[in-house]
Formats: sequence, structure tokens, C-alpha cells
Amino acid sequence: MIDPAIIIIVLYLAAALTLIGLRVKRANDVISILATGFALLAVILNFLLFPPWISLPGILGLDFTVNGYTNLIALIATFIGFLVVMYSIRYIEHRKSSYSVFVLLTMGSLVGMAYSWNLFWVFVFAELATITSTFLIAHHFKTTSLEGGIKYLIIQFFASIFVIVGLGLIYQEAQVFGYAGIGVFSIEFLLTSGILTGFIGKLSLFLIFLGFLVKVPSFPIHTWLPDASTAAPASISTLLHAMMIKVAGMPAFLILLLFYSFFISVTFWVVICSLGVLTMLVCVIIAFAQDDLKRLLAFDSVSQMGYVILGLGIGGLAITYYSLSADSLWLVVAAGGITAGLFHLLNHSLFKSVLFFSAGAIEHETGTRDINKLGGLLQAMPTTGYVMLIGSLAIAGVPLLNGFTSKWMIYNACIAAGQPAFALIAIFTSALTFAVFLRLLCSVFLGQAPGTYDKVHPAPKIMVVPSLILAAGCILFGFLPQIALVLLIFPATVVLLPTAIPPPMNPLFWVSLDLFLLATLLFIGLIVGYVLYRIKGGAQPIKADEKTMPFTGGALKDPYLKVDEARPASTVFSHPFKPLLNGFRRTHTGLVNFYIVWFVLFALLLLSLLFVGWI
Amino acid sequence: MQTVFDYLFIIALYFAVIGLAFFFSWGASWVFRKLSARLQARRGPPAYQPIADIIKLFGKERFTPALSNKFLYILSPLLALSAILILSFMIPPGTPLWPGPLAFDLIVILYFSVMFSLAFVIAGWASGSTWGKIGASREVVMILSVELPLAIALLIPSLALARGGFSFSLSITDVISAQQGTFIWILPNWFLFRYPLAAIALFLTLLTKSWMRPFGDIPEAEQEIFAGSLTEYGGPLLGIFELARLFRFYVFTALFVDLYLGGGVGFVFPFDLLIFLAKCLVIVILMTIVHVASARYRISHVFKWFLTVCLAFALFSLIRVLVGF
Repeated sequence: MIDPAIIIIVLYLAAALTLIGLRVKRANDVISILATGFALLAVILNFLLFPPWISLPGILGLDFTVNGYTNLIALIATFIGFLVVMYSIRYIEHRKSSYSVFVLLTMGSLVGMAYSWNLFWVFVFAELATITSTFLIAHHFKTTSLEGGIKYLIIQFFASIFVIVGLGLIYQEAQVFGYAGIGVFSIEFLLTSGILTGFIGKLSLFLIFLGFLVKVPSFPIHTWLPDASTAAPASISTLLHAMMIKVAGMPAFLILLLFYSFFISVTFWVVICSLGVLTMLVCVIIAFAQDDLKRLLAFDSVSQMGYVILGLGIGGLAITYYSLSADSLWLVVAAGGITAGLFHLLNHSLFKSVLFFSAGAIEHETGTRDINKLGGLLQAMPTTGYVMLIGSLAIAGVPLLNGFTSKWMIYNACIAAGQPAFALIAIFTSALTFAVFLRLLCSVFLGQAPGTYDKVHPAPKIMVVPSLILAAGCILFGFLPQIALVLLIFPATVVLLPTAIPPPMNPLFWVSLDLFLLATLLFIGLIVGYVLYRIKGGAQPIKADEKTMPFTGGALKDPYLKVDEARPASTVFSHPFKPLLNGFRRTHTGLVNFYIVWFVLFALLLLSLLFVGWI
Repeated sequence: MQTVFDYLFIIALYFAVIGLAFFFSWGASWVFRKLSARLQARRGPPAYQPIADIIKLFGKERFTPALSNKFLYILSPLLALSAILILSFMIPPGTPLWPGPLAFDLIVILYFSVMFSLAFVIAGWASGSTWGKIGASREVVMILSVELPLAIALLIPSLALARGGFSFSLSITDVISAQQGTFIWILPNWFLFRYPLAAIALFLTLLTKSWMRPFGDIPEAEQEIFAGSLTEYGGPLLGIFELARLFRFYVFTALFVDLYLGGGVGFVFPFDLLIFLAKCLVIVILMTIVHVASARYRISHVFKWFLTVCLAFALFSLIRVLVGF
């Protein structure tokens, strides 16, 4: 077992070291790789060696806990962080010297946040990570990137106000002052001592939840993420999407699920689930209209976080039913929902990193992110293309890739909790996601290359290797999800549930879905097809010549090829949604004031429900 | 977890079911062609014609077009065949007595049907033909339009079993066995009579999924875009595509019969299979009549139709299921 404090100190020290070695770029790379590699190994060791639950007597009142849940979140942070550092070596060669410093500082803060079991320290580490990542987003110091960074900072600080007010209310309830009083915010203490009571307790927890919900992000305040990730370099977008929103957003649901006794209300949990459903549906439709590769991915990211919110919300709903009826079968549903949500969280960080790494590689090689200008890149960048194909199919939920398994579990949990309408909307969203990614793949990788990209080179190996590792993970968790569920996810579910159910007793786990068998049958089908294809001997594949040029139906070659330019994939695919998209476009003005007004209205709405007593 | 022996048994069963599906699809395809010819006052082909067409294609030379992506160009027909074979295996032939591990649920069936369409989309784009691309983008619009009504109509029978609460089952075998007995007077207890509007919605979506007019043949409309996604295909690869498309006569009708027409429930072994196949044939004949009697719509009409009328039918039934009347 390695104390999380050691991991954080190593990461911070490495940041200081890179500050000294600013002028020597390679030295910075080596230090970053070593430090993040150490952090990854330490978290894996914690996984292998940890006893069920350890609270560490920390330095300075730092309250770290090593359990299944904190380990899972820290693993996501360090694993993706290590790959991001590896990827950055070639991706930003002419970077500012502060780059490695801030990457390491952000990672250290995120690991601290993951392991903290004290609301105050969670908040402090969240703020540290916010500030350091702002510098990363604004790394290029151009107008757009500065704008993205400042927007990000404003909205994050606005969210912090809610957290501070919530923490202050707890402080006031406990009536302990001074530095020693920080112990009051310990989750253990709050759960066992009973100082949180009645309406004030509920209100304080609810405000903290709202603050962290912004970092998830959820529907009415999702707009900071696309802006920030478009402004940032691709490696930093990966850091934002695969680490930041997971580590900084999950405390919201940690609070709701651990303090479930404050939120025993079916209405409240249905509101949370509806929030998840709205998030996924609205953002995937907006993603249709995006021509910027990274913006499209960012909106889709928000949509995928909607699945996570839905899964965890169904878990909370089932816990509520359990509290009302004391029927222990509801705990099984709750375990199913929470497991599904956490599994989708893990899966999303896998495939979204693949997609952002590939998007970065495309931008690196071609110099553009506009999907209408790209085309036919599969010939020029085959590895990136196939990796991105796997990532897109996984996110779209094609069977035998990991996205399908977690989505399937979420649908089952919804139906088991008596909310099939949520499952149906989620299925529809999945179809929309599928279309969004087909549009992306078709216009970027397939079709004919515009002449300007004839001399595109494949991306450097060190930029492709991280996405290859992640894509292998997508395939592995796709047909053997039991590995991830038993080793990584279920220990985390145990922490979030009041009474855990061991995996074999949980019917939502893997009963009736033998994915290995499905994979075998699919493979047999492919073999049968291939045998049929090769069955006739003698016929040789003919060479490419005039005879094998596309069938034009008698039209001349030049006007025929013009058809392609007249109707690019992006317009064809988004055509049916035109009226809806125009409406959404009008509401996404890009003004940060406007977005904050949205959030205030949303928060007031929820708070009024709380005051009326519906929640 | 199964043993190796179980796996071998399942694979043997897989080939047996595929054989059944193949011969049924052959017959149904002939019925489809003969009947539509007779309805149009033509003679129609002999019974061996559907399979002769495919065998002929396997005798042709193999080639890949110059502008295509070779790997995806070859992979997509194989993927289409593989997906439809798994689909025909996952839908039990009318009997609720289907071995346990094979009772894959309706969501898996839904996703594999999308995977089947995905193969056509990738084929259209990988072949590097403009007509292929137009066909593929039409196919995507079709998937989007059909998906929501299809999902609701597929899940309604199993939701009707569960009525919320914990004891739920998405397994298709439970849906079949729940249709035993009689509903009112002599009407059998089929979901067709209990949720007729959902049955209509499912029939329309399956009609579309199996390339039947008024909506189904938009992605391959001959007069406008030649063969759509398959314009650049020829030889064995086109043969594999045609073989995969042949299975639609089994898969989509069997799905309808299992969910809404009670499968072969109420009969012992050889007879339940025969009853089931007879019901499938009735659905094929019904589909043929609709196909011949209607003209092709525009692609934007599909979107409008399915997300208004068809969705309204499905949603009405869904509300009935959830409220419980």
C-alpha cells in the first residue's frame, strides 16, 4: 500500500523539478514520464494490495482514504495522465516551457481529489486543479485560447460559490472553528456523528452537489466544456474529458449516494434521471451541427456523461425504493444501476481518449479540424483511422465493444427500476450517437481525399501507441466485461452502496449476456463469409485501372465528381434536424454571462423544489 | 460459464438454425417474387431462381474498385452476413424452449439489427462511389427514423409482462410463452390483439428494415441512385450481400411472429415449428402485397412518418402498458 500523499508529493516535486529544468525540454519529458509512471504504478499497487477500507492519519489534517471507489477514480486519472504525457512528447513540440509543470500539477491535484475523503480537501484540490488546468487550456496564448480559458475559469469559480456556501453551512452546524475544525468535513465523521440534520443538512449537501454538477457537466451548464476543449491543445482536451470531468464531477454523486438518507424522495431521483436523459439527448443533437472535430467530440462527451448520470440516478432511485419498502431486491437494482454508471464512466474515458488522441493526430498532420475540409485520410493515416473507427463504434454502442456492455446494463437497470421511458430515450440517443460518429468517420476517413491532403504522413509512433493501448482496452472490455466489472467496478460499487450484494447474486451483472459466445458466433460468421468469398479458385483479383473506376451511370467524370462536393456528408446527415438545430444555435450564444444566467435559473428551480418540499 | 461441450452444442445448433432460416428464406423469397409478378400480371420466376441468382454471382471474378478502401470494402459484406446470421440464431423459431444461454434479450437483437445496417453504410462509403455515399447517408437517416418506434414496439410485449417493478424479463422466450391461452372469447392471447397499434408500428418498421416499399427501398432506389450502397459491388462480394439480404425474409418476419403472433405456442414439437413457419409466410405475403401496392416515398417523408404517426402509435401503446389498461 502506498500512501496517496506520497504520490501527490512525487507529482508536485516533479513539477518543481521541471521548473528548474525549464530550458532542457527532453529533461522535462523524462521527468514527467517517470513521475506519472510512478503514480500509475503506485495506484495499481494500491489496487492489488489494498485491504477493504483504510483511512490514513494524514499530514496537516489531509484525510485520504484508500478504498475501491477512490482507487477506481485515481486509476482513471493516473492511467490517462500517463498516456497524455506520453502523447504530448511529439504532439506539442514547440510548447511553452510551463506545459509540463502545469500538467504535473493538475495531475497531482486530481489524484489528491480522487483520494480525499473529506469535503474540504476535495474542494481545495478541485480549485487547485481548476487553476492549473486554466493555464493549460490557454496554453497557446492566442485570442481564442485565452477566451476559452477565461470562460472556463469564470464558470468554475461560479460553481465554487455553491460549494463554499454548502461547506459554510456545515461549518456553522458543527459549531467548531479554527483549523482543527476541518475534521468536521470528513465524510466518515459526517456520516457517523449525525451533526447534519434536517433541512439545513439537506440544503448544504444539495448546494455542494450543485457546485460539483457543473464540473460533470450536466445539461444547462454544459457549455463550458466544448469552449474549453476547442481552445485547448488536443492532449489537454483529453485531460479535460477523460480525467478532469470524471474526477471533479464524481463528488456530486458521491455525496448524493453516500448521504442517501437525506434524499429519500422518488421525485428527486426522477429529476436527477431526467437531467441525465436531457443531457444526453440535447447534447447529441447539438453534436450533429458541429463541423469542428473537437467541438463535436466535446458535445458528445457531455452526452455520454448523461448516461453516467442516468445510471447513478437509477441507483439512487432504487435505494430510495429500498428505504421505503425494505425489499432487499431493490438493492440488487441499485447495485446494477451504480455499477453500470461507473462502468460507463470508465469506458467513456477509454474511448474518448482514443478519439481525442486521434483528432489531435489529424490536426497535427493536416493542420485543420474542419470535417468538411478533410476526407479520405484512411489511406494516408491507416492506424489512426482504424483506431478511430474502433473508438467511434465503441462510443456508438456497437455490440462486442465496451460501450455496448455498459449501455446495455444501464437500459436493464432502468427497466428493472420501472422507468422504461428513460431506457427508450437512451436507446434513441445511442442511435443518434451512431449517426454522429458515422458522419464523422465518413467525412474524415472515407470518401475521396481533397487534393490538398495528398502528402499527409502517418502520425508519429509515440502519438499512436497511447490510442492503440486504449483501443485494445475497448475491445477487451467489450467481450470480456467481467474483467473490468469484478476487478475495478464492483469494489467501487460496494463503497457507494449501503449494503453491497456480491456479484454472483446480482442478476443485472452478466446473466443472459454471454458476450464471449456472441463474439465466437460473429467470428464464425465472418469466417463463413470469407470462405464463400474465396471459394472459387482461378479468378484473380483484377488490377485497378479504368475498368475499376467508379460507376457513373454514363455521366462524364468531372461533373460526376462534383456531386460529391455539392453534398458533403455533414449536410446530408444533419439535414433532418435543421429546424431543431437552428433553435439550439440561438441559445448557444457563446456569452459567458448568458450561460451563468441559465445556471442560476436552473439552480433556483431546483432550490425552489427543495423549499416547497417536493425533493 | 459454459463448458467446451456446451459451446460445441451451441455452435451445432447455430448451423442447424441457419439451415432452417436459409431454406425458409429461399422459399419466402420465391413466394415474394412470384406473387409480386402475378400481381403485376407477369409470369414470375421458377422456384430455383432466387438461389440461382446468388450462385451465379459467386462464379464471377473478384475485384476491388480503384477508389475504394480495400479492407473495409471486403469487410462490410462479411459483417452484414455475420450480423444477420447471429440475428437469425437469436430469434427462436417459435418455441419458448430455447436453451438458456441463448435467450439473448431484445436490446441485443435491436443492436445487432443496427449492426446489419451499419455494414451497408460502411459499404457505401468504402466503395468510393457517389451513389454509394448517397445510399449510405439515406440508410443512416432510415436508421434514425426507424430506431425509436422500433425500440418501443420491440420492448412493449416484455414491458407488458413486467409492468414495472423488479420481476422483469427482456427475454424473447418469456414473451412467447406468455402468449398461451385465449384473450377474449376465441381470440388467442397474442400481443397483436392486446396492443394492435404497437403491432402496426412494428410491422411498418420491419417492412422498412426489409427493403420493402413504401419506405424500405429508398436507400437503393434504382431510378435515382442505381443500387445505392451496393453500386460498386460485384462478383462474390455482391453475392455475399445478396445472401445476407435473403435472410431478411426469415429474421424480420420471425421477430414479428414471435413477439406479436404467439410464435408456435400451444403445439408440440414438429407442429409448433410448422405453425410458426406458416405464420411467417403469411407475414411475407402481407408484406409483398403492401410492397407491390405502394409507391416509393421521399427520404424526408420517412423521417416525418416514423417520428410522427408511427411513433404516436408506439407511444400510445407504451402509455397503455405503463398505466396498465
